Amino acid sequence: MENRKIGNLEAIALVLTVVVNHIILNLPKNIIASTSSGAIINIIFVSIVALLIAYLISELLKRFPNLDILDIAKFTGGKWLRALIGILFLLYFVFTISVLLRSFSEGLRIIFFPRTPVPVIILLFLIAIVISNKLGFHAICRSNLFIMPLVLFTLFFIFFANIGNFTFQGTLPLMGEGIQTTFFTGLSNLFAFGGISYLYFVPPYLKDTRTQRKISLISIGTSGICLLLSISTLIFLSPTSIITQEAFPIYLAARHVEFGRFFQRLDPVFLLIWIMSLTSLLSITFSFSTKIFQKILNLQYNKWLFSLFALLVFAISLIPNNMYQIIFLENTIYQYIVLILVFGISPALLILANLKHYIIEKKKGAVSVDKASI
Amino acid sequence: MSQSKNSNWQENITNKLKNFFEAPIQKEYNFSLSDNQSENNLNSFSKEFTDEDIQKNEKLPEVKEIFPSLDVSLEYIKVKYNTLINSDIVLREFTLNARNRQYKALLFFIDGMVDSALINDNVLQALMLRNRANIFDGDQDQIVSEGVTNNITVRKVKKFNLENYIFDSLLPQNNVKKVSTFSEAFNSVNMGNCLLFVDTLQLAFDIDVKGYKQREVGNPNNEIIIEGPQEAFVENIRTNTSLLRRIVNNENLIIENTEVGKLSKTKCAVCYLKNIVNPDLVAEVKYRINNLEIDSLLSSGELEQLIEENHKYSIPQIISTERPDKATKYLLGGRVVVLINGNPYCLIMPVTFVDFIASPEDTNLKFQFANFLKFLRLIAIFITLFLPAFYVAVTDFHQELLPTELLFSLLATRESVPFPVIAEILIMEISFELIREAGIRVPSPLGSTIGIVGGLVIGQAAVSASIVSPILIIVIAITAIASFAIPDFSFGFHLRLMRFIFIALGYIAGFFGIGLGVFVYLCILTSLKSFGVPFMAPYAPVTAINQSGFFLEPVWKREKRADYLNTKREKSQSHISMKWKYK
Repeated sequence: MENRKIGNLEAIALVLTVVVNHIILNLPKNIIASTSSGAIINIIFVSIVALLIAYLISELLKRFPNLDILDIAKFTGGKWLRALIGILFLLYFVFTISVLLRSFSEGLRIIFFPRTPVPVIILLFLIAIVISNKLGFHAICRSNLFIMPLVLFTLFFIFFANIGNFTFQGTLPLMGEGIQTTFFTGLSNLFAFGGISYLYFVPPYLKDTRTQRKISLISIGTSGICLLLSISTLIFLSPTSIITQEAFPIYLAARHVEFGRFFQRLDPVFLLIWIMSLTSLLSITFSFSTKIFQKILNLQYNKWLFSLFALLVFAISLIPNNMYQIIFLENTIYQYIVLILVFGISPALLILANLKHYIIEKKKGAVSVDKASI
Repeated sequence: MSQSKNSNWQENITNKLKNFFEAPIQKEYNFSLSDNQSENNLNSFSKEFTDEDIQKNEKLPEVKEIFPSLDVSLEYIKVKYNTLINSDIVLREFTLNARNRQYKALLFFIDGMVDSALINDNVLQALMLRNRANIFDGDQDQIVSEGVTNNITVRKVKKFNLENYIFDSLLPQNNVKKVSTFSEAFNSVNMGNCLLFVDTLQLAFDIDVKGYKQREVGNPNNEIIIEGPQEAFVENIRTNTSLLRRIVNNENLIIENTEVGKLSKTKCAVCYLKNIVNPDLVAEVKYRINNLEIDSLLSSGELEQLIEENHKYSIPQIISTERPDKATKYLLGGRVVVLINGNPYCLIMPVTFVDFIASPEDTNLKFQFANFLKFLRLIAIFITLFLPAFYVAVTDFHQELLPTELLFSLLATRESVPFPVIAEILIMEISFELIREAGIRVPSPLGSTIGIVGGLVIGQAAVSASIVSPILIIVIAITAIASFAIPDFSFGFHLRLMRFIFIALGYIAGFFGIGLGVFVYLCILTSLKSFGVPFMAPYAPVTAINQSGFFLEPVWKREKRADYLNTKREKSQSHISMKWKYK
């Protein structure tokens, strides 16, 4: 792992970028489709649950300062468990990059480049991702720090600039399809907070590991606000017309904004910011996946790793045949992977690790576990 | 016989005719540098020669210590300095009078680099003429002090020593040093000093008699400000150090000398404030400067390239300035300044992105004015980098951005232009860069003419000839004006280069290409470091802004030095600086 550390704001932006980029893509559309008019209540509920889980995870990670989940897995079950968890997260990250890349590229093709083949768009993204990864993880995190406020601004702007177009009938009935759908089935919308997965890998990069709880809560809280804002925008606008279209729903919401005589529409400018943001997310995820790969195989050098991984991602992203397959992968499969891996296996592993730590502590009187003891 | 006579006659006639009609055959003058391999018949020439190899080749053994015999030293100097062909080397032999004795002596200097009057009055006259102090017998001991106690006279005497005697009594010059090696001696002579060799002494006296012509301290040419000092550095390093010392006016200012270049031995001065600067930073600067294996160093620009961390990108990581006030401001902020002899610019390190947008005038103005100017500069950077690229992207991909009326008028102006937008914009951008370059190179009276002819006449003609559209001329003109608003020359140059990359990206993929380009550019900026300081500090990584932020705080709030420098003294002024107002 690199020597350079990242600060609290960089870490917050890093977690936030996952949720925000999913908002830009099809996340709000998916949530509205599953909970209909109860989406606003649902997302408030899900955000509170996510905050509680983030708090729990930061408490569980507290006993393992400077360790990521792979180190913790090694502590709990040896190197084979580390390899298993590493492979699961590696597959999750590679899947995420590939699906997001394909989904966004398809969206871009629909909006801007109807005559350009999708592989060309994907290739351009991958070139930027490989270059940024060669410049280092810290450089991507710091760049993300400049991009994130702009993205947040666009989300807020789209909400406030559309207030004139809002019709509040879309919010009724408040509970949507009933309490069952809003609170119980709708709990699966927890997958929107997939950014929590990055919290498992962030500790070794933090300058001050004591601030981890703060980072978790602020990033998940802000993500919840962004999600609420974007879902409200879509519900207050005519949701059916937006949900049924293939393009990104927030982009379509941006097209409703009128700017007077000087500019006809500013949605391409928003898209410019979102392209930077998505490239940032993809680069961060790409960086984590190569680091996991290096860690599993004990590789010291990564000269060709980025290019090879880029080829792998390129190949995987071209597997889906059509837009429906992509939406299915992005919504359904991604949802289950996040729920199982991020909210199921990983917290369970942390609980086991804490138990083991407690037992060791009781037996030997050891105070804390660090890298040297593993 | 008659046949041979006839043939001779015919030959003569033929030759005369030939000479008359044909030009004499001339051998073509053809000069070429000798091919090393054929000339020396050695393949070994391709290998690197060290100084010792060259010395051996010239059959001149390297001598360290000065010879006690004046004649031997003289011969050595003659060979070393090629006095037979070098016209400005002066070797003045004379007889030195000391305590009624005479010694052979030699004065060695380079004509044009010394002050002749100083040599005549303070060196030659003092050494050659007999004076009262010089009339004693050579064997007499020098009486240092004398006292009488109980009718007994006690005298403290000092044994006569020629070396000390010359140094103490015969050289009425303020800066004299004793040197014992030829390398030290030659360095001094090359810098404009003169050397005094005396027979039997195994040393030379290095006398400071510099007197070469140099430029007076004048106004800055390239960093002009309205409110503030109007002095600029000159080529002489000592004048420059004095300019700094005069402004800093504090004994903690350290000016350490070092030499760079095996042949040129260019003097560099590392300047810092001992009680403020981070010692690690000073050590790093000296480490980099002292570990340069080069033959010569001729400018600050060369040194800048040799000591900056990352060479892959055109982004400057060191500030070069001709203003002593700007250099002092950074010195007091905890940075290191490097002066180079023979160059009217100094280098400031470490620096961040924010420093390149700051003008030396900013702190002289009220903070509201300065921040307004800084905001304008930010817009200027944005325009310089992106305006042409946005124009290409909007006209090719994102026409929906523009109101319908504007789009129609834009299309109407482009209707008669036969080229695609990219060709149009490249023609104009390259033409503008040519005008700018030509404007700098031509003699100054013609500079404005080039601007008028290039900018107005050609621009107007290009629009009339339907080579480019009028809107494009506006875009290029605004971009050009914006690029002049960037205070740092190197940074402005970097932005000009980057503009072309963004134009290409805008042409390839519109806002998508520009977006990817901006992201990679941001990653490059955030990955850079200048002497250990992140280039985008204090914003990425986020550190306490103190005085290092983009916008200036009011002067009474500038309490702390830049956080990322980790200076010895964090505070630069008291919490309440205006004691007269708030007690």
